Amino acid sequence: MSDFADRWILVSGASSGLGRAIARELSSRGARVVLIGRRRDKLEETRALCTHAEVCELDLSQHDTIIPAVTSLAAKLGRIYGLVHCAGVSAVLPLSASKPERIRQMFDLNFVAGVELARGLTRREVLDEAGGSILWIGSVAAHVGAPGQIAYCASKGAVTAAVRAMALELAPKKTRVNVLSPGVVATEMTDAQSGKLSPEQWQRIVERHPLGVGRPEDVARAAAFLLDPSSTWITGADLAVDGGYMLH
Amino acid sequence: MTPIPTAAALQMMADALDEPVASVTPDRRRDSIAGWDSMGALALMAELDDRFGLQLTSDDSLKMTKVDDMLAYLRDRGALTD
Repeated sequence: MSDFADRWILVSGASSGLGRAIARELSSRGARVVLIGRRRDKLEETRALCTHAEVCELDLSQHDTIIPAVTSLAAKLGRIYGLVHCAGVSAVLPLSASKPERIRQMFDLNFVAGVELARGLTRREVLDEAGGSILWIGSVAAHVGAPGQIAYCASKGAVTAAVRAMALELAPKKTRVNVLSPGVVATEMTDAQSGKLSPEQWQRIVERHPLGVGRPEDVARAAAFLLDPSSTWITGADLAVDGGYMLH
Repeated sequence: MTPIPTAAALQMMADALDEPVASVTPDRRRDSIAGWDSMGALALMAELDDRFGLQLTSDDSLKMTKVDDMLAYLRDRGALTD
């Protein structure tokens, strides 16, 4: 039984993939969702799949714009209950190609933008007075290494480590903070990445998932569970949603 | 896209594959360059994406058997000035 009861939840990366699936799932369970992303046309496509949704066109690489955008959303919509940071970028970069600027770009979106969204959400005039829920989309890459994934593993490791500290810090505000660690899910982002690997390399990755590669809906249901206000005693959790990838 | 001279493209390959630039000549075979393995190929993909916005696929990469194949790939896409 879901208990979202028209609460507003920010969903970054809502243009496609996991973000779109999570927005749709939350909406189906009675939440109101703010769809955050760069491309208005794609956000409008997501909005068409939701019952109560607001579009927020925002470039999350422009960190200075994030908190003003969140506070103006609260002024317009009322207090906000939750946040799920789905926006992220993945790239296969061997050590020789892991240049500072490329690493920075990955950290800026996967980690720093999420921190800025959380800072905006937890402001006194924004956060629901009864508390809130923040969910990060981590990755099995936070736990398991892979060649060519140094920067990506590090950025998701940063997320996973930060969640524990954030959960402790925000507990007095009755705000829960959790992270999902998905395995490989079939999305546009993973399609683009798989094109850079040989068929044999891709097949090896697929075979490491005993239940096969995931679908966005698989992650979306777990996300809704952790965000749900009825999950009152779960904070600082790192839930693997990986088809058994990390069992090896 | 900002095209570059062939000499700069050879330097780019040398840097990505950790090979002395003097030895990266058009007729040099891929299998004689230790750094042009699966990770080296990924490093080249990243360079091409950053510099030219070119998405070199695994299929196209696997077809390259010598340095000149990479130069031809770049020339065909207007990434070389000469």
